[in-house]
Amino acid sequence: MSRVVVLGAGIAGHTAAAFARKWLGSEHTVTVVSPRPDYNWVPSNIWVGVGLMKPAQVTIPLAPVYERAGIEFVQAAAREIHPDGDRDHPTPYVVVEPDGGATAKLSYDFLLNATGPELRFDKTEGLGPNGGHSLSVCLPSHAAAAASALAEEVERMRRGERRRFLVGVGHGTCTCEGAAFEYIVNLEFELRARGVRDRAEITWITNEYELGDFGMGGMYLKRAGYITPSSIFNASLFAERGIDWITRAHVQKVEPDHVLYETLDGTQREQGFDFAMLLPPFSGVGLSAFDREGVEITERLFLANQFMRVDADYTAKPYEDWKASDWPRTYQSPEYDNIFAAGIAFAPPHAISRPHTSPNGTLIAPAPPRTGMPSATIAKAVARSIVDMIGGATEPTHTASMAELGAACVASAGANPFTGTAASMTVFPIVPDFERYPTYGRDQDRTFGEIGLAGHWIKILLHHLFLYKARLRPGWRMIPE
Amino acid sequence: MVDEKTLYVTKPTRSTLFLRTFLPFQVWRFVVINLKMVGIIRRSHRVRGPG
Repeated sequence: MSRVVVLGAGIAGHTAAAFARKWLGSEHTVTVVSPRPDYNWVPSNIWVGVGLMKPAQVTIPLAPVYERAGIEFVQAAAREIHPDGDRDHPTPYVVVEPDGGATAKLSYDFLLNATGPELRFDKTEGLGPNGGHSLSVCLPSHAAAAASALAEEVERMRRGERRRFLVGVGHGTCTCEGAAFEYIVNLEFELRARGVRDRAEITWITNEYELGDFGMGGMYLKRAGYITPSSIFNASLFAERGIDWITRAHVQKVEPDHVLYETLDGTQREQGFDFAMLLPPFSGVGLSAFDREGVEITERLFLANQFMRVDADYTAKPYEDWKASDWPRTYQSPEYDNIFAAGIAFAPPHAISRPHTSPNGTLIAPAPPRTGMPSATIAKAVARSIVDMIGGATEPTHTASMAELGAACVASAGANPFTGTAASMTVFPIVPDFERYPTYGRDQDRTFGEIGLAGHWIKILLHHLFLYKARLRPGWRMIPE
Repeated sequence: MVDEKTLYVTKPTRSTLFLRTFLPFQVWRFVVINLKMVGIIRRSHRVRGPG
């Protein structure tokens, strides 16, 4: 009998646990450890943030789902990994801490770290909804607070006031620009729908070198006889909607009514706002690791950013030397064969976008996204490898390199069944492979994007399909990741 | 309007804007986009050995 412990119940952790449970015999145990009681379909948080959905529409309680599926659920935060056990506890274990409860040791035979990100609002002074001056849509509760603030702004504008909206990322090394992009265009759409658009000044602030980079080096789309960079499409979308933009920016400080930021040319500037939704940078959740003697070995399992080392090439090298083969394939820890990481928790070898540094030495470069479809696909591959290793395989049997996977993405640009639109995109591969595709790094026949109502319908369909799948209802495995 | 930089940005024509929400065309695009996405999903779900 083996015990698989999955840390985290987000898209990666929940997917891995569900598949491991499905593929393993009943003599084996699958345990999920998560500090939160709910699963959150994060891509729909933007709709909570503009008041179109309630948090309950983007979350599902995990306990009944896991009880029905035969998955053990421990609502607690993982704190420590002891991959060799200790003198009193000879098998590998993790230390978990329930909210307000005493810590406990949880033994494992295989461990999957899918803890997702720590939201590092603390990296920028004044950033974030908890004691800061900006809003967020990272969590359903954050998004609900953003919706309330937006409703107040709309009331002010209805009384004749002009208001300034600032949306984007709150640090030079943020990721998830795509989510902030969805938020700003949905915000603009809602202000139009509520009849106050003419009283709103809306500005996008981003660490991207060019619009449309989204942390994946942008993309090139075949349209109307041209291969066109995504920056053109993004700028067009903003210009069409009257949204101003600030690129190449590192937000240094958020004051109650303005942000101070530095741009790549080293200039210090400020931008006023009445309403700011700025995403934070991410790090790992800060797990520690100890050997059998109790000596800390965290740096052997994790990088300094607290993301877990896996089978990637972490050698520091210039952008020109980055290769697709640097990216991990099996997500197995190089130190311990029975430890894996998936989703945001694994440490990428480097960024995807070309990094830039200001004359003041400030790194202004988007971190690579690894959410949504790739996150779930990686989790499924890792689950299959773990199941096969429990069955006797000596090494991981499945791979899911982001330099070999494609991704399909739908970015909402306004939610209405008749007048809404969304940008539907596919890229292949996610991480450009310039050895295989020398000019653009991607297969141009499989990299595609267009804006339209059909995209919105797909986005709605995905919302319902993925929540159905997360509930592990009959046929859930037929719904792809 | 925002500022001078928007003068140098590609903007959609009226027919492009119309087609974005024109139901018969969007029903067709719904089918096409789904097929494209299924292609990417199938390609990304191929079983691969670690070698």
